[in-house]
Amino acid sequence: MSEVRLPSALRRLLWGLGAAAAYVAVVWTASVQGGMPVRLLFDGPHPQQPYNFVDPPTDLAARNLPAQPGEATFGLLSKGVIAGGSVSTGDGQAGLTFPAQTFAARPGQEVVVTITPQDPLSVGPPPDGLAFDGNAYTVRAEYRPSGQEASPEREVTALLRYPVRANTLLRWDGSGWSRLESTNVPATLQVYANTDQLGTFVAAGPPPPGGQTNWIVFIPLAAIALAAIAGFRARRRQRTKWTRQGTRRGAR
Amino acid sequence: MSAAISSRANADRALDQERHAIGWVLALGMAGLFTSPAGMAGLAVTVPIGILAIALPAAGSGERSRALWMAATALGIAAFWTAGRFAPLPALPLGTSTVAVIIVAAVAEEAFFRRLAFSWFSRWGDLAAIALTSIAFAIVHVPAYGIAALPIDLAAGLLFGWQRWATGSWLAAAVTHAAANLLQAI
Repeated sequence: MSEVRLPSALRRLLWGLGAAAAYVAVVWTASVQGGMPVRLLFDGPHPQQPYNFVDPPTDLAARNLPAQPGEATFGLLSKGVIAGGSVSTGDGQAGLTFPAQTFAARPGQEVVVTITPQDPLSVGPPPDGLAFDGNAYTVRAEYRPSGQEASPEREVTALLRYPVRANTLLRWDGSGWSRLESTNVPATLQVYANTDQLGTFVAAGPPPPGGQTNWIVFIPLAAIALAAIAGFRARRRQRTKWTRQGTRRGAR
Repeated sequence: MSAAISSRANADRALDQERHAIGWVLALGMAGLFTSPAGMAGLAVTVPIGILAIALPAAGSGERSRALWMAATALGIAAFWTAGRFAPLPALPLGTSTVAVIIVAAVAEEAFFRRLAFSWFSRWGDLAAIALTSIAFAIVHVPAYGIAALPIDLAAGLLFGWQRWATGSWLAAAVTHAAANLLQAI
């Protein structure tokens, strides 16, 4: 019996379907099964618009825009459960993601989640060895129209953008800040964590050492790159010359 | 006759030296990408590496088919779009300059990994080239995305590596990578 071989292009595409499925499966496993959403490729610099402070540093006060709040309503689905979804502030600096059934369903009630920015120092001093980086955000959830507090029955993901150098997320527990097991994404200046309680969150990191990125680093790097390119091209020309000479002599 | 042999030996020696030098460029490029700071300053590292990766000699391979190229690109973008549905972090706000930056960064990284590095590693076979460039790609992203993203970036590297192998060109991976970055804003 002769072997049936698929055309080369089709075989290549089938391998690609496998690679694409593997990628989706890995993301699904990490994000859904792992319980922690993961930031996918971005490669960009941090968000371009300046950070909006509640209480800006003196040198940024003139250009500072007020930090914005956020609000979202999670309605009762026909299945009798509260829907999932996400809520973000208007400037994208804070957001929370809620899986479906995070809140217990109550007949005729929906859940409204609000995010309110505030100065973290007005909540409490930072833990030893840490400095706040950006605003604190107070997250409240309540049933409407009853106005009763709604507490999550599942873990939610809280995500904050920070202005400079945070690496952890803190939650105010009423008497002090507690660290959450956080994932930091320096590429986008965001830190996020899963939590089973709402409240006030803030991003924090090591105190600033002072100093700024030295942009002059670009000049020697570019010079090295150009020199390397020139060197490779010269060597390639030399090699081509040797090869031609050898071919000519060999032909004689 | 002996002159011809000598010239060929010189050419072979030069080729070996070139390979050796590109190996060093790859090692230094990896170190640069791994340690490059987040944010705009990172471009000071990424862009020269990308320029170097495009300018240095690298062998192409495989079939060149426009239909295959388009299919590979479409499949890659579809995979990133689908995966994005499972990682529901809030979209990132993008300005015009950010869009330009993430496209440049994607092209520079793909030139480095799927053009220069793939070509260099392919002496050990296409499978080794796909695997080694994927591992390198995942490792350099750890400082910026955290260890949690390592398996995801490894899988992304495999997908890009497949595109490079299937199309014989690094451009499908570059377009897909740029699109994947942009999808983070949707």
